[in-house]
Amino acid sequence: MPHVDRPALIRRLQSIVGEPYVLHRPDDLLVYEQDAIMVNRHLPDVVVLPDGAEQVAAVVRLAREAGLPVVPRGAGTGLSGGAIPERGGVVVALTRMTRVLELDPEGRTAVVEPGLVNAEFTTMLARWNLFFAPDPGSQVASTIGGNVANNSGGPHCLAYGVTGNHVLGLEVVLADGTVAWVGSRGWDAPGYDLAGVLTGSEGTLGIITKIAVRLLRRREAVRTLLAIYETMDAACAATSAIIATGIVPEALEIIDGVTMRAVNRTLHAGFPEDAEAALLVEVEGVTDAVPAVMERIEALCRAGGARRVQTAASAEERQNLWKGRKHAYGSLGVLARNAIMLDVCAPRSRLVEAMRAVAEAGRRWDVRISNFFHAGDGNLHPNLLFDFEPTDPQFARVVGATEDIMRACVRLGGTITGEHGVGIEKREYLPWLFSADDLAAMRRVKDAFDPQGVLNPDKIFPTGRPVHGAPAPAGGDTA
Amino acid sequence: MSGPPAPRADPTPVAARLESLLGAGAVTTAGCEAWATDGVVPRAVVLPADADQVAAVLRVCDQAGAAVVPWGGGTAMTLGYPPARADVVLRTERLDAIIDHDPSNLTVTVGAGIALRRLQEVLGAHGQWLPLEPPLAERATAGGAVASGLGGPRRLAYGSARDLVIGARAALAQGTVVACGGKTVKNVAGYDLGKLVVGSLGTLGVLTELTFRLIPRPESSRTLAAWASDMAAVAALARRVFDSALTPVAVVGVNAHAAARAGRGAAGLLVRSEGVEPAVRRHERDIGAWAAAVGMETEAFEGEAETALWKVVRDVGWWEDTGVALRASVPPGAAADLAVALARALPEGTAMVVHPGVGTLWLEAPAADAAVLIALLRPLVERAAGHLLLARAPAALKAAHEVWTPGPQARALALMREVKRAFDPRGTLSPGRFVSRL
Repeated sequence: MPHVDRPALIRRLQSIVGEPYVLHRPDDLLVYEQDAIMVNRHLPDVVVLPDGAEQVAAVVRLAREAGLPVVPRGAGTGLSGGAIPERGGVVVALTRMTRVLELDPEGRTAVVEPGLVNAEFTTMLARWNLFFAPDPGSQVASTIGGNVANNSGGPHCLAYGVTGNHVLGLEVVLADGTVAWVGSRGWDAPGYDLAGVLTGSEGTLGIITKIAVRLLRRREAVRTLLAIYETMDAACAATSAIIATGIVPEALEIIDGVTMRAVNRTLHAGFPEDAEAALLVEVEGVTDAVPAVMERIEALCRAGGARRVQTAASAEERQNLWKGRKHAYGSLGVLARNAIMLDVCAPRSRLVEAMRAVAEAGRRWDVRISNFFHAGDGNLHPNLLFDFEPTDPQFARVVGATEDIMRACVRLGGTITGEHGVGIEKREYLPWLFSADDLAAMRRVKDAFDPQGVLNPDKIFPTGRPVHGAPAPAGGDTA
Repeated sequence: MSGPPAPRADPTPVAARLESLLGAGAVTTAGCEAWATDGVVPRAVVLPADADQVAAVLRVCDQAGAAVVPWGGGTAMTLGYPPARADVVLRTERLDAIIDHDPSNLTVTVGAGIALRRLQEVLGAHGQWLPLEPPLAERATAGGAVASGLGGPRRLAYGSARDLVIGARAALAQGTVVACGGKTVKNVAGYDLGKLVVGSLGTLGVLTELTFRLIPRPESSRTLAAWASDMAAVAALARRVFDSALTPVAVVGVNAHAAARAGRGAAGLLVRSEGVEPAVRRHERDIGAWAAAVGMETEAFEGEAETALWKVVRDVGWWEDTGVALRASVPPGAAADLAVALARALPEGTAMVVHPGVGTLWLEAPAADAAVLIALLRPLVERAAGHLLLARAPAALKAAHEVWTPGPQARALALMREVKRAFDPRGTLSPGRFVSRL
């Protein structure tokens, strides 16, 4: 640590947040060396758990003075390495800040602290028939601050939009240790939409300490449909057909055959062993309309060659149909020791080609891939499965396959991350999407907010270093 | 209010250089009065043909110290403070291509200067539309609607420009063209710079290309109006609607003066529902019953009558050339109460339209009443933790009143200055026009 001696720093941090809330023993720091991406890790020098913007601001000022980077962190469920303190420094964990500060059920707005867990918030809102729309797969653990920092999605953002569509304003601690309110508690705050830019900035522009959000009213009726297909092509084509007809369901997910068989082994979900894809569709609305919409979707699914179509109206039946999707990630353990969940997008008109490219990448690099993803918004999640450690030379095959898939998505007009963020994982690939001038424009924003690079340094922007700390694999640009 | 007159660059060489860049037909130096912004008359009006020409114009002007004001359909040029300088008006009219309509992806990429009306026609042929409804939408451009950031009645359901723009390309003051986003509805690759340009009044860059997410045209759409003797009854019915599981796409209260513009004589609540027919019928049935229970008369609008009714609502503030427009933005839960409080106190002849689900109130009044209105609104809006925008007013009024009140919090404003400096260090783009005369 450059400018201060460690015991003095720890004492000063303790005086800001209280002794129990400064973690500095190696055992205590271990939890904070990585997030949910398993291929990178680095220990922080110290972890603080502040309560409130004033404490966060004081911590940031002290870290600056000490020449240490500051890395904000929610629940650590991120999948791109955004919360990993690559250069050490101070991790600011916001998990103690869990209050709902304001709630206006009539106006359907609330102000919450960043450490509030997504699913707990929505559970709490049930008594007002309200919910917070973003529902990332990690929602039982992930925090709303983390959702905002990553502009998280989830199955239901097909109809309700991503996190950014639900953020009205933010209180943020800036890199100089001052506190700002951007946006407001309503729409149309004057000035540039800084809350919009902070959303999805992965902790590189400010540390979010309060969030003003809009809430949605629970729909009266929900219907869920599961359609089984012989081929992935057919399921993707059915997805494109539903979207093209002008029906936008609340959720439209695909689970592939590899995943279905894995789920069968862990849950006895009853998926057919020989099918290659299942389409899961959910429609919400007023009771009078939902059956009519679902009938049309069912007809489209059958016309597209579905082997079997099941619908569910009761909560229990719905949960059964969702069970396979919800437990897909957990089931991967029966397939391989390790998995990397890739997050890419293709235009919804190019889904068939995108999924063919995923399969081709798996064949080319001899990597087994399972897929369960948000087909309705073209957001693919190929899971690359492997039985060795990321330090093994064979890991280059996995990297090769991920790069082929990303290249294919870029070529089809898509993107290299739809909802997991850039973090460490994707930063070297940003130039595949953006010119030097485009990246320089983003850099201007970073410099306007954080000229000295105190906050979460090196994330998002290309560093010129090898991806995953591993040498880039050989292999041509043939995807 | 404004500081000492800024040094003005010698315009002749700039105009000559622009002519050699764009061709003589694309640069006008005569009759520039028609392209004045709040009375500030430019020396030249240019019509670049593509993004590279836009960038070239900006490079020349930036080097010469000539201020540039981007101009789309010209429907929202009254927004903001009068520009401190406006040497060149840059019209985006020729950037009007439909670059990539991908119907089965529900996205479209267009030149920023495309007329919204033409775009909607093309999309309509595919059963789709872009749910952007700025005032005077028939004359507005896509880029102008984004740069002004004004939302329309259906933003309750479909969001506003900030939610609909998924990709953008803009020419920066120093003459580079940069892109952000893409054509996928989910995308978190890099900073979401598109958010910065929405509502920025052309002060950070000139939009050249935009990608929007689209929505399917609904198979049914109808509006139920419930007429009442006062705004309190309107607010109460709005509460009833928002306390239900109904999913209207627009809910708007109008005072009697606003209703008069649509040929009606009373205050009322207008509820628009769209979607499959059974959903629309359900909305009419429930809201009709709630209105009847409190003695409110109802009336259904459909087809052209519905379109005409919502055009009146959409354009409030822009009805009369001689009027002023004010917009109050408050937390959504405070809007209905604010409307009720205002209804009793407004000067005769003030039209008021309130969007309770969004927290927006629009008022239009004769310019003579502006000072009284501003004095009445400011404390009420501020007490509700909201903001007031003087959206349209004669330049003389703007010289006497702030356009945005309260402005951004001090630290946030300092950040905005840094952002402006980062993108436009010499103050070339619409200088002085934005919040706090950035």
